[in-house]
Amino acid sequence: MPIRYGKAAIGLAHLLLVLSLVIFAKGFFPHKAFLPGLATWPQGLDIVPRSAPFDRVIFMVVDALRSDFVYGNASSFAFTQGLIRSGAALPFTGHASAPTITMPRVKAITTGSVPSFVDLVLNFAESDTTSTLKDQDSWLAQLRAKGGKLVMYGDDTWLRLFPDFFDRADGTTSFFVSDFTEVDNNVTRHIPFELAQDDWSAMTMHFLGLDHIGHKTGPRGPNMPGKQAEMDGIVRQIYTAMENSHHLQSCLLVLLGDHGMNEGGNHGASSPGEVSTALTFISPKLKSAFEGQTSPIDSTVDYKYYDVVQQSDIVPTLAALLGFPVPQNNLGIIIPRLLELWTVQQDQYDLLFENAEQIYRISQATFPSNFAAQMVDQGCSATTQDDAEIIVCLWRQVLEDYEAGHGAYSSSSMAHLRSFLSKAQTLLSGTASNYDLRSMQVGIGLGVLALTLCLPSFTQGLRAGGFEGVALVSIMALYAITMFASSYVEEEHQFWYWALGAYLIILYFKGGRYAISPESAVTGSTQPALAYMLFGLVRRWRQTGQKYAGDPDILSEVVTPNPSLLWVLVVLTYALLSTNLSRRAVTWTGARQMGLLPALVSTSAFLFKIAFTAADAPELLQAFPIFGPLVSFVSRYPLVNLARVVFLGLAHLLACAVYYEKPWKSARQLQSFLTAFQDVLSIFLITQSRTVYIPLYLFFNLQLYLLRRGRRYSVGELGILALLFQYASFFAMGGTNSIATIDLSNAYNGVSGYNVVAVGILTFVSNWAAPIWWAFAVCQLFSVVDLSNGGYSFLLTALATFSCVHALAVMVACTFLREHLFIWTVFSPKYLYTAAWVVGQHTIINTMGLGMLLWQGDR
Amino acid sequence: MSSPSITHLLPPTPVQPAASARLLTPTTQPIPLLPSHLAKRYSYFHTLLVVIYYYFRASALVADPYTAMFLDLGFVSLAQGVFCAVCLPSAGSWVSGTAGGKINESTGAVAPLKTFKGAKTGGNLSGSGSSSLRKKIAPPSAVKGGSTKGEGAGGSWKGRVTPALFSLILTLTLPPLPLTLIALVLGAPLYPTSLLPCTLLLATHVALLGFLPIFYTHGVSSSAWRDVAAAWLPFDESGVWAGTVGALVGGWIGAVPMALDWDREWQKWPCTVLWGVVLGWAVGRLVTNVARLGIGRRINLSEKEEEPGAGTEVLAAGPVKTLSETKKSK
Repeated sequence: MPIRYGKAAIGLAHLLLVLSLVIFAKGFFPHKAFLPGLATWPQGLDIVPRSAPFDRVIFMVVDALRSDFVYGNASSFAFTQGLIRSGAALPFTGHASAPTITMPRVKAITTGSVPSFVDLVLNFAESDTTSTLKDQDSWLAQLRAKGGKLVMYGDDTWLRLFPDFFDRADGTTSFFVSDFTEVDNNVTRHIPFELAQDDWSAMTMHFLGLDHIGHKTGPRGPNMPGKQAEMDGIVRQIYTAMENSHHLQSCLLVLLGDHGMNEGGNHGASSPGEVSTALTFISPKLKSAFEGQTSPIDSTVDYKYYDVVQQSDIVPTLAALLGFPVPQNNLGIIIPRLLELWTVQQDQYDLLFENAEQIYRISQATFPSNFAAQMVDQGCSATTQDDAEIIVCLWRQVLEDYEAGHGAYSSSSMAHLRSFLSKAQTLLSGTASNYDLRSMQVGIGLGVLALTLCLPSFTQGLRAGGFEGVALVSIMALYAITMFASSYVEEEHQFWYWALGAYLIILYFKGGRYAISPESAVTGSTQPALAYMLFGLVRRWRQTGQKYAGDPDILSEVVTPNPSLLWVLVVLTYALLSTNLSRRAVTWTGARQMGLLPALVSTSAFLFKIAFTAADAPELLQAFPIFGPLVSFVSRYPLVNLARVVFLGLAHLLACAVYYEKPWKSARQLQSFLTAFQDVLSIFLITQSRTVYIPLYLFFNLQLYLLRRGRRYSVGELGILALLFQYASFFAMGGTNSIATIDLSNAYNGVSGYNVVAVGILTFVSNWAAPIWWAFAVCQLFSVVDLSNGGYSFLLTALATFSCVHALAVMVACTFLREHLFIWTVFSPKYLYTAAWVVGQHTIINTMGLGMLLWQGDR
Repeated sequence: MSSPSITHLLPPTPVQPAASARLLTPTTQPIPLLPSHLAKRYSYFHTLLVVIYYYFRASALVADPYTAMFLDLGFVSLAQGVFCAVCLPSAGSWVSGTAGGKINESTGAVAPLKTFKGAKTGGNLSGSGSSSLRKKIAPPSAVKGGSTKGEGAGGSWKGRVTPALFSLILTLTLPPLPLTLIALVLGAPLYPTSLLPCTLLLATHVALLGFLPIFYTHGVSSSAWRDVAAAWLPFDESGVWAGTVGALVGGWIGAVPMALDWDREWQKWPCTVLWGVVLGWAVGRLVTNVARLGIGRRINLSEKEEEPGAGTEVLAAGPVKTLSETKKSK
């Protein structure tokens, strides 16, 4: 039976596609060598570790502290700038590499490694135990091995990364970015107590408020100067304590940002603002060793102030300053300026040599074969070889110097040491060199196989499709081409808006060729025309993409100044769904009371949304005082419970719909079930969407209504509509191909604690809410005939074929453009998004969800 | 509980029209080129002239789109007006379509002059050709005289300038606003709002290039404009409809370079879109007016007569098949 064969092929194709994405990712994303265990001082040799200048450290991380927030002339860090002028503070610009989000950055500044994109995925599945640094070498682990106590206050990312590391800790969750003060007060209140204690050797603080202000109001927001002054006050408090307390005499304060922020206040990618962080070493002891530097600095290029160092350099520098072995997986180099603290040049050489030995070991682990072969080989020209050979060669020079001088300092050996270190750092952190092309080719090959599996039934459908077949193939071909242009990857929404707009115009033309009924002369072009106009509203609701993110849109120009408009639309959306469902529920049993159930569920969903908005975006509610009593009412209940009530109610409604509509009985009943199902699904998806996007569901519902009112659409037309609406609506709800816009605010609804599966599912649903909505919405447009004779399967085939084309195009683009400047900033995030599209949207929603739902009508 | 009856399952909102939609038939005839050598040559020359004009105005457009496009309106209006007057039959002077019944596509495609003759000899087309909304068909003598005199087939010069002016007024008043709206939905910038006048001017250019000749040849015939709204006009030897389609498609494609990160001055709104419009218009005209390809054919959006009973009334697949089979057997 051809339909059954086609479905099996689609299922198999998706399986292959997921496999191909995994295999390709294995070859594409850099493989990092990893050395287990803690570094120790070399055994046997009786090297007495040099006396370390410091014995304890206060590690003060201010989330999203961009370099200019401290060093620029608009900064409110007045006290810190005074310290820079006096020499007590040594300022640097710390370069954070992409992905510029907290967890990978914390990894970099504690272990010295350069986290890969795999860490990015783990960041969103935070509880994953494999992502902890418990068994990895870090300066925290080294301090603990020395017998020091650690304390930690602030972002609980640290507590998750370093479980059971801290003797005293108080974690803060970065949950609602509307919280500017509580998150920081929760840290600040512990400072006086801890400054009075002398039992710790490292105190880590992670302030989140500044990042929250950035996300909410951008780097120039009204609360920014006040927050900077608050942070400066904490620096003053600590510095004063360091001057006055005996036990803090040899204490070092490191003030740093984990990443920066762009002009929109977001981070994740690698624009200059996002990668340039402030990094300042502060101690009264430094005043005697260093001269002061100018501060503030008026103008600079790309947020680069003073010396630019890598964030990973912090790790070996701390190792030197506090006197412990350099952590095993470190790729940092001791910051040269701080090396000047050691006045004996032999000490400087020894420190750097230990740093170099450690980096040599990690490079040996990265390129094992090269090192085995090359160490015996003589003759060295550092220009023409591959990466591994260059490192080996430079290392040999270092060793020769070392052996010749018996480890004594000389200027030439120092120069060799430095060139080895900098070359090794660039090559090992730069990841362009070690693609596993074979895995990538296998991945592409499997993708091609998946596509060929889809092709027979797809081409069969195309022949019947006529114009729609041509349109589908053109969309696929054009999309595949745009994947090779970095601007079109960044601005992918343009493609979908462009295609969907044109297709709605074509539907308008087509509608004009029909009379809506055999008797009437009125053409069926009105509904597509209105749907087209609504699409104009939808696409301008939120300006998306990367280049023009933050530009004016309807939300910023019309809705934000009039929050009452937003709330009217939100209430209308809930009311529409509620009345639809109530009317339906009455028909289920014939009893009017049944209509109460959906009303109750929608009300609870609405109350949850109010409670959530009060926590997430209070400014929307403040301007609309009518909801004041509601807000104070719902604030008495925890959000987790409210969300669970909503989810339970929705599950109950869905069960009722399935029980009474009996969708498996006939295609007619399936069609009727689909409308009820859509409304229940809508309430669920709205719960998972941000408040400002809720009116879009109203527009979507209107568009669907208009499309249903029009003539009957062929399966080809529905295939195109499903494809275009799914992708376009993803971007309309603020989605992009940049990591910075992944919305986590609704990922914890109804989840307490860390449940990876639940959080993962909710994260996907809240980011792909609109595509999921449209996937099921388009099913309502099928006629009973198409539902009962299997004609709908072309929709599944078309979508499956597109997912193959999508994945293949991105994989091929990543392979061909692997030396491209933007490979890590544009194409890698796109690859991750592609994986989410293919696995989440196409495999789970389109193939499994739709396939199972519609299959019931087959009998 | 017993399974609910069908009446219980009626959706809360009226879902689909009570009966299935009916496929209409297009009623417009291809617009003929006036049968004079002048008309033929001028129609070639006109395409060239307009393209060259826009080519030389390109730098002015990039420098100041608003002023340039505003000033260009004069020339484009004049050029298109002259083209209409010289090359096209004005509304009412030719059989632009049938009010009802099917047009025999093959005869419409062969040569529009036959249409004239058809009108003269009172063939089947003229019989049903006049509707209340349409001007009366020109008397056969005018057509006959036109074909012999040097004045051309379109009647006296005065009789051409007046409709040209009239259709120019219609063109400048009716289509620009809807076209602006269409452009806005397709991606013309809404913010900053200072660009809205540029979009309106762009829409006016599209109206002049794409719709002025349609107003001139079809007037305000509702059935003709119904076909326009359905993109259902036949391609014609005078290149009018192909020009319209080309302008719209060209403008759509012209938006593509704007999203690229080349940071060139000319990537700003609406330069590339206007050039796309002009190029698309020219290509459309070259294909039909010069190369004479596809004349008489209509854009095929693979619209099909719906199978009766595909709407909500039919409950099972069985009867549908029999119904569609009976339909075929008719």
